[in-house]
Amino acid sequence: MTLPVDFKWDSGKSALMGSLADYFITNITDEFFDFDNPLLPIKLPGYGVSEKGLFNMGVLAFDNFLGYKGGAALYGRKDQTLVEISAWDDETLHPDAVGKVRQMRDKIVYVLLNAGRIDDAGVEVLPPIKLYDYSTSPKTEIGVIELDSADNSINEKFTIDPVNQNLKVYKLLIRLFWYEYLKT
Amino acid sequence: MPAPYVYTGGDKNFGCTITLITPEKWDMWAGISSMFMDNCKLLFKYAVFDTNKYLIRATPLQTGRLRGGWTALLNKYNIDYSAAFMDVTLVTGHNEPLSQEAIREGMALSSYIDTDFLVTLVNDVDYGDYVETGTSKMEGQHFTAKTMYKAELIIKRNLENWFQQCAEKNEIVKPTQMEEVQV
Repeated sequence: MTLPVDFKWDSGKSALMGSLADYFITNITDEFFDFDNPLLPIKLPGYGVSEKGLFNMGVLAFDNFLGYKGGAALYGRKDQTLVEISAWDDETLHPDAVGKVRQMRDKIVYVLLNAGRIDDAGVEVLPPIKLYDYSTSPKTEIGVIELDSADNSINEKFTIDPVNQNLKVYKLLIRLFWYEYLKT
Repeated sequence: MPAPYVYTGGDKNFGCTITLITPEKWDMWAGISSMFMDNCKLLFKYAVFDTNKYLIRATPLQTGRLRGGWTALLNKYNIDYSAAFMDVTLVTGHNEPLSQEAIREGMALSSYIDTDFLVTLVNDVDYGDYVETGTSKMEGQHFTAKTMYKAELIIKRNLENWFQQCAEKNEIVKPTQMEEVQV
């Protein structure tokens, strides 16, 4: 079966996760990312990134992005979701796996906390996380993503994998907000 | 009001009598603090019950053991959580019948720390942590984290509703237990 010729990508999850993925690989260039994978990444050390959603099952929050309701696009509103980012490493491959995953954790937190932040000297530390609609070519900027500013926006935990105890993992569960620009 | 003072002469003693015309108002203001706190405690408990029931709904369901581990506090207060226990709208993968034995095991591993404004729910089912955070071969479900964010909504909604009721009646009213937040 082939795609219909008038196929239009009107589901937003891929586009929004794509924006987030693009931001991570642009700003953390020396690590491996495995997107949409809640399990062990295919390469170690590496990140596994997957969306968890709030609060309903089935329709994850990101699914609403660029979604349609009654034929009208859902623009101009604030929404939220949970994203799990896990930093994995294997002690049999790298002796300091624990240190490595902690360092990987620090990179993610640094990037998220500094996205769009202007320092005291008036310099932008990192660019804001922009939302892009990848259904158009070239991609169009249609919103912005930000880390929840509340102090419980990052829930983190270091664990040793119970299945293979050589695997060390630092799990971050982050709450992201995103704002879609009002469509004019 | 009666004569407000008594002057007794050379030793310069001074006495004063004050009479409240509306002592019931004084009683009301004197008691408003404890009344407010008592109702706050009740409001908080309602939010805890609501959150506890959402936590049960968000916990993955197979045999019922893990959900049984969240029931001790609700049992203490005789709160009906049967609908939440059987609800599978927030979870996937329920494909086997519940086990009464497993549920009892889970309930035996359920405990809590219950104070006025701090409630801790403890679920000692041994694999709960793996289901929550996941492993290299199993996706984490993060049901406690999701419930934490849900609790924010529940407390906000309960407080707003209570303040509105107080404002409408111009007095501190007893909060009412609300239906579960549907988000």
